[in-house]
This record gives sequence, structure tokens and C-alpha cells, in this order.
Amino acid sequence: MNPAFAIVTWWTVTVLAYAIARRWQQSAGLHWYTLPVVSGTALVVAVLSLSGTDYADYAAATRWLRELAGPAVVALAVPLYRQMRAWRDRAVAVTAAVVAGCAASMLAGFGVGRLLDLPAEVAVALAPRSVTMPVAMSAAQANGGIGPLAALGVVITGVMGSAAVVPLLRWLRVDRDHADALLLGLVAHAIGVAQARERVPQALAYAALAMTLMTVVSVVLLPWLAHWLAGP
Amino acid sequence: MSPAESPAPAHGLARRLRRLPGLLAGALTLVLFQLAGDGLARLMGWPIPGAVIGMVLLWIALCLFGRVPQGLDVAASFLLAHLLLPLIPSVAAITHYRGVLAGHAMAIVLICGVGVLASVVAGIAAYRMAGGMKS
Repeated sequence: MNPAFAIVTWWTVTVLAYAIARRWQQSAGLHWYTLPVVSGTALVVAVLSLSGTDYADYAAATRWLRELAGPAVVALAVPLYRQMRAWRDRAVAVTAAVVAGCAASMLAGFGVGRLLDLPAEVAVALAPRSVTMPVAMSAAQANGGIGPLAALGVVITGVMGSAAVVPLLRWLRVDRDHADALLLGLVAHAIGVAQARERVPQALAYAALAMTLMTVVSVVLLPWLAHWLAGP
Repeated sequence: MSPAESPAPAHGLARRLRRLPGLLAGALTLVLFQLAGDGLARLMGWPIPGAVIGMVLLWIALCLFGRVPQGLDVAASFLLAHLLLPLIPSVAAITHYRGVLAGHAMAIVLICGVGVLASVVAGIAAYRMAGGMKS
């Protein structure tokens, strides 16, 4: 296929799939399966397999669309700045939550991995699950894990987390906007931040802050845990 | 220009066109901060994505500037409203890894599920202990 034609076609398919997914989410409500990353991606995958298109060709055509994720993450600085007065008083608590959440997530992952006798390259790849995909892939590879598997762990965690965090918090008898946003950003990275924007826009800065801190803490903690895992 | 000649109330399109330069400047700001973040990460050898560094740099810049320029505000709200759109092509990569998925499906799902549970419980406990739930 002509590259320019491929770009126009696959951008259109992706944007249309996203628009349909959004419309469906608005009418059917917030569920894990109405998340645009789930239903929109399912539509795209359906079109890809029906048309017999290789993922690599689709990825090449949508490269600049994927690159937009970068400026969108940069844009989180705006709510972070706007809502500074709200989170400044809780900056220490947010940091404590992120460090504890990150350590618990990685230790739980490694623990289950040990129980199931997973090879180290799989266990390490599945450690950084609560960070944005490019970070997870490069961090996993740098520590001897399989990159694509890391991407998979990130997506599944993002989808599970954005659906489960708020019900889990209610079950733990926590019902505060800032706690919802904080844990959505902490557990489910960009997918959770998008969910926080829908559910608790007034506390969005907590989600952005948690996602940022989580990235830093994960990248720092992973080499320690990977070393410990590779040891006796 | 006399008051009689002053333009009629702007149409939606005219108003949007007048906001366009500010919007473009806002979008350009976001891209420039992303590039600055990428450059800094590469220069320092940090294993942190450029966009996250760019976000921190923009936040510092906004603190120094003291307010959010309107164009930046509009561009940022638009991108944040559609944060999930650019992730769709990356998530579609799942089809590419059917082999890995089939080999370790149970382990992957179990680890992700237990991880979500553990991080929510530990995160909220630490948040409460550090005084985050005080109003």
C-alpha cells in the first residue's frame, strides 16, 4: 500500500474506532469493556484481521498518532499546576502511597512469579506494570526482561486497575475524590488518568502526580528487585 | 474605526480563527517541552521517558510564569480529553504477541490481578498513615 494512503486510512480507522468507542461509553456508562482502549482497540484489531493487515504495517502508518501520547502526558502539567494548592498539603502522603504501592505491586508480582516458577525474564518483564508503556518496555529490557511482555502487563494492569480501583476503595470504606484519583494514577497509569478525568476531574492533579512519581519510583526500584530475584 | 464600523458579533468560526494562533502556540509549547524532556533524558542517560520529564519542566515553567496561557489551556484540555486515542495503536500490538500470551496467559493475568489488589491496599494504607485522609 502507498505509505501516504496507508497513513490516511489507518488514522481514519483508528480515530473512527475511538469515536465509536467514546459514543458507546457515553451511552452504556463506565465499565471495563466500554473503555476506549478496550472497545476501540477491539474494533481496530477486527479491521486489521478482516483486511489481513500485518500489525507492523499498521504500527508504521500510525507512528505519529502514537507520538501524540507524549504531548498529552506533558499536558498533565496544567492540572498539576492548577490544583497545586489542593495537593501541596498532601505531597508527603502521596509520595508515601506511591512508594508503598509500587513496592507492593512489584513484590506481589515477583511472589506470584516464584510460586508459578516463572523464568526470570518473564518475571522481570511483568514487574513494572503500573507505568506508561514506553517506560515499562525500556525498564524491563534494561533489567533482562522481555519488552513486549512488559507492554502486555502494562495494558492488562491499566484496564484491570481503571475498572477495579474505585470499587476496591469503596470496599475498603474509602470514599474521597483525591484518593480515587491518586490510586487510579498510581495503579493504572495513563489509562487510569483518563478514567480519573471522567470520574473526578476536580482531583485530576492527584492522578497526574501519582503517575509521575510512580514512573520515577518504579524505574529506581526495579534494578534492586531484579537483582534480588536473580540471586539465590 | 468608528463604533458604527465595529464588526458584528463574531461567528463561531471567526472566534475560533482568532483563537487559532494562541492554540497553535499552546500545542507547540507542549511539543517543545516533550522534545526538551527527550533531549534531557538522552543527555543524562535517565531511563525515564521524555514526556514525563517534559511534564515536570512545564509544571516548573508554569510555577515561574504564574498562570496558564489560554492557548496552552485549550490545547492541553483537548489532548487530555483524548488521552486514550494515541494509546490504541500501541495496545493493538497485543495481537502481535499471541505466542507469549498463550504460553503464560494464566501467570500474566494472575500477576496483574494480585498486583492491582496489593498496590491499592498498600497504597491507601500508606496514604492514610501519612495523613492523606485528613480533611
